[in-house]
Amino acid sequence: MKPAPFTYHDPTTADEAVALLASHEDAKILAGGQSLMPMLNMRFVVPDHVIDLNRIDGIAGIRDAGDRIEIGAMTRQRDLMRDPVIAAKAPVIAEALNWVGHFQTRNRGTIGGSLCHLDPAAELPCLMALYDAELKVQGPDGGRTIPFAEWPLAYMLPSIGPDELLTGIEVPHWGGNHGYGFVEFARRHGDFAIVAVAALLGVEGGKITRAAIAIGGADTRPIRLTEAEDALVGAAPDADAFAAAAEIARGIDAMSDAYVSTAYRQRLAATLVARALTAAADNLKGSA
Amino acid sequence: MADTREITVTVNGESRTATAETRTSLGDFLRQTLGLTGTHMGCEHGVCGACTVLVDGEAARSCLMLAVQADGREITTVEGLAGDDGALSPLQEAFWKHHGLQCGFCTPGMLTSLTAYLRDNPDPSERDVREAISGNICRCTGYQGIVDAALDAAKTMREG
Amino acid sequence: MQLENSFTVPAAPDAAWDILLDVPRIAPCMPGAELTETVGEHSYKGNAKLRVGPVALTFSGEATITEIDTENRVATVEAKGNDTKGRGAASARVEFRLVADGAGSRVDITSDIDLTGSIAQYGRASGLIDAIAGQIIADFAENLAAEIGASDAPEAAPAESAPDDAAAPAPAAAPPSDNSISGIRLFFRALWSMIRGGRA
Repeated sequence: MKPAPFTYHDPTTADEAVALLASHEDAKILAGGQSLMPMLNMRFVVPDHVIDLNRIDGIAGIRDAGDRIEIGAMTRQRDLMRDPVIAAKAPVIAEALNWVGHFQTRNRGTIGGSLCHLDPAAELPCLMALYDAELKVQGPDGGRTIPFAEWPLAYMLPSIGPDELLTGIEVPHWGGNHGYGFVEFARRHGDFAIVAVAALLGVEGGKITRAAIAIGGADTRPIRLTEAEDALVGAAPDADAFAAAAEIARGIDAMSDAYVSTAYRQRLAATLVARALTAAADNLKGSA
Repeated sequence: MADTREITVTVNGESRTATAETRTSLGDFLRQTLGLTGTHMGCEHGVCGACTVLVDGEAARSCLMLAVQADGREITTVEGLAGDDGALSPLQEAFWKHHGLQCGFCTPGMLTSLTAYLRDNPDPSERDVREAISGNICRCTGYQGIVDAALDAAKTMREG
Repeated sequence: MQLENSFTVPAAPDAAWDILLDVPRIAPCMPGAELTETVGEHSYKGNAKLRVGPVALTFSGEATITEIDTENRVATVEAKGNDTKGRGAASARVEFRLVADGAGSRVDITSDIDLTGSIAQYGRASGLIDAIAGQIIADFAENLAAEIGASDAPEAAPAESAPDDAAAPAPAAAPPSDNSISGIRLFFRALWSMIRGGRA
């Protein structure tokens, strides 16, 4: 239950971290450590090098940039929960973080780490899918932006290059009158989701003008229920519309494992989509 | 040829300097190198909470931090919760009073977690407390004594 | 566990059969594979690197072609290797069956794989090993097609990488000799772009 020996690096700049990644093939990045340390302790991963990002300035923090929120990759989950910009402009993120681990793990865990680890049942990737967030990545040849839809490459494998570092995330601001909902089903509070659903509903004049529904935990990557989203536009935000969306959710491709069957995940997805949309409709009045 | 670093950590108010292998966890460093065995290592993968300490005042799993990451930081362990004169903190008193421990294995993590939690949430409901300790597993007590202790301590601290 | 896969080769069955038995020629087409030694007429030693999510594995071992049925174009390979970091071992018995497929050939692969040690848990995640094997074989086929196309004519690997996709800087037919983990990521990225068909 102790890590195998490795060479430890604690760069103080992002450039230095990128240079280390480029020069060491078998390296793992240490951010919050809440996912990597268990793997190291159990020797699931046995890297030759560990690159600790915790001494780097400038890649943490939350900034209101008008039509988007800029979030540094090393921003602690706890800070996202307490931040006034998130509370005002993307409250569903703070809501969902109540379901992420426990307060002790949120004190260290980072948004960047969660997005790079890309556990299928993690809540933060689901939220980034919901918002069509953009991920800023830095490599030896400069920076690039990856839309979240292109971020998951395979099971727990993002499309970031081996010598690239995630430095920040941009979350577009959903303006106008909209509500949000987040519901999750897990065996115990704090466990990874079996299925989680996040929803945003924009409503104008009693009709849905915009909808986003993201389902986590069902597949290896978050699912955007675009068919249901399109069907909701123009409809009244009522139980019938939400039931129709739920039926579409029932048809998603879902994983099967030793504990939970595909059918069960599909059933959960349907139930939770209805509940998330209902919650979003209920809190329509109070949003920025 | 182990990869080591010399680190300086302030633990319970006292500055400690020692050499640590870079792969050593903070929990093992506190226990083995510094001799502070109050912090317990249960699962070593972040779920049981027995290893919880305060890092710069915030509760964190010492099994999920490397000792070298604590260089320059302030750590509070269970040994640091009582007063200099040995007087138990209100939370510790309440644990004693309400039988919030039996074997004591989870207790250091419970105490550090609740110390931080009650500092930030001075008037929690019972449900709040249960959620707060959901990251700390206890095999003995069934949690009721721990919850009672936390609520009593919160009340004591509110009343000054 | 049992796996079934198949891939196509842009060469007629006779030519394809000879190419596939030329192990030193085709080993570089296998993503993550490195041939280190030929120990006998059909026996080879080497390494294979692959990723299972966040875990990078390197297997070191040997592979032997134990049966060759030239008339029916069926070959059996037995391979075994240990994870170089001590997390377990894998052994496989793989049967390759080559048949004509239009102007080219198709190879049907039936594998029987055993995992021991801590890596054995991956066998329980339904579809995970399947997906990884599928990706590796698809990459292999693409590289093989490029390698064959480089020596004769028709358009080999479809280079329809994703449209202005910032996530796929490497062309789909990346040099097959790059067998590091980074090489695998480039192949995965190109493969994923192709699967997605370039849609966001």
